[in-house]
Amino acid sequence: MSESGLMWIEKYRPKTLDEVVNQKETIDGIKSLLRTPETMPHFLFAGPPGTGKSTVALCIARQLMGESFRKLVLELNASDERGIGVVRERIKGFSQIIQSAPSGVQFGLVILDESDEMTKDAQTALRRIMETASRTCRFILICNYQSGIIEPIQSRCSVFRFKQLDEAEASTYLSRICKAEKVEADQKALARILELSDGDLRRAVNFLQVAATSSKGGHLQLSNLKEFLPEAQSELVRSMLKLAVNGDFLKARDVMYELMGKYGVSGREIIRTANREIGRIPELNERQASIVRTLGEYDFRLTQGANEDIQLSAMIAQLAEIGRK
Amino acid sequence: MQPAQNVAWTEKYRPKTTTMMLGNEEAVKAFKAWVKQWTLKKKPTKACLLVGPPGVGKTTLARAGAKDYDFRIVEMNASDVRTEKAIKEVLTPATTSTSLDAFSTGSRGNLILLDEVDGVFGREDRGGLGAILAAIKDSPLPIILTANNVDDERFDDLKKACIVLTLYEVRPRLIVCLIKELLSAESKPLPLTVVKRLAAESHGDLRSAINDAQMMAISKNATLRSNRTRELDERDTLREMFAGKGLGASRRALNETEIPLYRDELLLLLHDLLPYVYTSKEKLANAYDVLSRADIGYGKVGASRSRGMMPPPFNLPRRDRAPEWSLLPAALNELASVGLQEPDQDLKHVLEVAPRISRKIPDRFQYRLWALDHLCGRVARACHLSKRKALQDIVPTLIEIFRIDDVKGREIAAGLELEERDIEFLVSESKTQPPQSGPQELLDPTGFKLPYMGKDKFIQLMRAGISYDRNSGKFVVRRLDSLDTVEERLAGILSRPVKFARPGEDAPAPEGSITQECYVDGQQVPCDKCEFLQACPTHLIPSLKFCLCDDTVADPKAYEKYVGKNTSEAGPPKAAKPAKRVAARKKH
Repeated sequence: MSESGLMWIEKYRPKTLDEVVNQKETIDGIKSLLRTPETMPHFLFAGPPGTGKSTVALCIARQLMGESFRKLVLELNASDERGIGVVRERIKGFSQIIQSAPSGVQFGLVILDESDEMTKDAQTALRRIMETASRTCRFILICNYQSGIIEPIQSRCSVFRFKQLDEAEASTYLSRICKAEKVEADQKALARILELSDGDLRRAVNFLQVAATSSKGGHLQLSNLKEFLPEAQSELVRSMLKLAVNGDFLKARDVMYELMGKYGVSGREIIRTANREIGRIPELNERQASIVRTLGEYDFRLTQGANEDIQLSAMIAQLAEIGRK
Repeated sequence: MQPAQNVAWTEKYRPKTTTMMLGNEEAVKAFKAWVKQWTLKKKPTKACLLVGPPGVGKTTLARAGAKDYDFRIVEMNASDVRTEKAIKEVLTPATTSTSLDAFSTGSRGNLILLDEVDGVFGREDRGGLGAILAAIKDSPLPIILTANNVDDERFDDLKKACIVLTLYEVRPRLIVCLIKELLSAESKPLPLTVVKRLAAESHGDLRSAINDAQMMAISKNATLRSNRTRELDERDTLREMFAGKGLGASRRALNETEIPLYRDELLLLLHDLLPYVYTSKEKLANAYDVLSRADIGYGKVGASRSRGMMPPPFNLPRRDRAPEWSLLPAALNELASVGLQEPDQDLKHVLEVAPRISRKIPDRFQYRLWALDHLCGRVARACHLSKRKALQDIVPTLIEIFRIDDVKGREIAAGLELEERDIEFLVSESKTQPPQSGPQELLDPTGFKLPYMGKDKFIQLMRAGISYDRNSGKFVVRRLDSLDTVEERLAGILSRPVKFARPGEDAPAPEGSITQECYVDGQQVPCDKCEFLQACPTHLIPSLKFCLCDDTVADPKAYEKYVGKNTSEAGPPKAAKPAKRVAARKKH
């Protein structure tokens, strides 16, 4: 495998805890807990996307188990492995593997990403699984919102919060990548990249890679910066909002279907993006308050186990009604 | 003996042997073969599941078949409570203590008939299906099951464990013959026309036809009709719901509808139609609000749901708990009140023009979404992410890199250990995006050419609302007000996106304003200030960029104005070349 053939987010993912930028207090706390590996507690990492939660989890695995850590780590995504039954089965199988592993292995590591996406019922079941598997496994739960995790699980874990990235440190990090990739980057261009990526370092690195690929000769300047946002959808979401408020229900619904059908964006994701984009549509400034209220209402309704098509269409109908007033 | 009037003819003349059965000859033959196997040494392992609408003779066939081969029937029907326990109680003695019975009654033994197994669901019957399955597996005795409908996925296991025989509606001609025979046997004649009508109206339900015939014959009143509720089909259900007769009538329609209410089919149907039924924004918003609540109600019930737009794995149904059927009535009440406002559009028209978007779009994107899912899975594993995040962050990045530099893209793809099909997908994506680039070919709906595609496709085209003009050798869209629908269908047939030129689209109006304008009395009135908005069909026909309110046209002055100099074109307004007409009217 050639060195250039990698996603930069993987290539420059920190390998040890010391390399992780910007989360000094958190890292210090974790390190002190890892001083005696056998007493490692379960961890709960909470924080916004792209701040290094998964990276830290992988660093811990590497530190405890060495380079062959992959066999001893079970990575699960709560949003992919739907249903607690699947999670239970995987963890059960995994702890059997750990038990039969060569001596010297104290425990396996289960990294459960996006655990706040699990239902409350599933989390209650997870709590039991954590207890029964705790002899052979340690858990690292990762979530965006700590409030999405039920109290009993929180009390079983050492909770660490990851803070939003500091612009200066993120910028140094990007410069370091540029240096390694022999890309001459303008400070202003880097600042623009960080601004557009909303403090999400993963997004920033992706952006940088796209920009670097498109810049000929390795010169990256603000003037020739190819503006690229990973969500092709944000543009569509904006046009959906505009169409809706202007009262063109059918067209707005078509855009919604394109988002969902063609790009596989979930309903809640659309609403989340809409919430972020609403401030960027100057025409809708006057009605912002009522629009945001509607978005919130339907975000809530979606959590009630409802059908996405119907709920989002209903939302568009409400937005059209707002536009009429 | 009792007077004949007091015995139901359906019982009196119930066939005693399979040779007396009417209709469904194949199913009868197959069933007989199955029962016969049980009398031989080598016994079949499977049970027999008879599926068919009510009144076609499922139970009769089971009984007659048992009698043919001297089996004694042990019966359980839907009125029994079919918990696991109840089923076991009946099955265990019946399945184990056979030999003694066989000697004492001279029969070959017991045959178990479980009637209406599709009624086994919900709380009361918890475990019922499981118990039936277990019984089928272990049973040394033949088991016959009957059901009206086993399409639901709950029955998949059952279908595997059984030989499924389907019975169909009995042909009306046969029903006429039979009823004539019964009438002459009872010497109670009825006019042939009445018998024929009876047969036609029974929809193949032999039992109801016989019952009706008996009632008419005995009361000697050919006009007497039974009040049996006939299931309302989709169209009638909707008509009742939007008829404005109040919540009670609408709720009753739901009771009688044939649309299965334990799934969200009706919700999706309403979802397709609502924007066409209610063209005023206020009503639409209200109706959708109610629909959304009904939908939440369904969500709380937690029954199996169609997956909406997205196929799995993007939208897997969560099944953390059993359905709460007790919550369904509340949801149904909400659902019944969706159509309480007076419709803006005639329902018949709506059913014609409204595309069934919730059914079509999933099919169209299905393959794409599966490809996307595979790719996301790969990327997710390589980058320690969830598929969702991979979809959001990495996949667009990859597509962008592929667009800029194919070689580099392939290197990265290799690094991510993507498969060839993933790379193909990325390459094709990078070429098609961004959508706005490149002018799209616009077809003229009043005459466009297509390559020769063979007879089958040609027939499909005709069905999609396109006709062929032999003189010009071009295809023509029959109804210009349903361009969207035709586009959708044509795209499906040609398997590529198709766009029709919309009259007046060459000058797109500035974004942000409502483009359709009324020309009442020669004035331009924006839609939101128009007093005819409620009656306006303009919303329905997006291709029209100017107003054609019925009110406007009905007003003779305005109509004159509308027709303008082109009096030769008088008649129902068509959507052709409005831009020109507007210009003409302005001059006028």
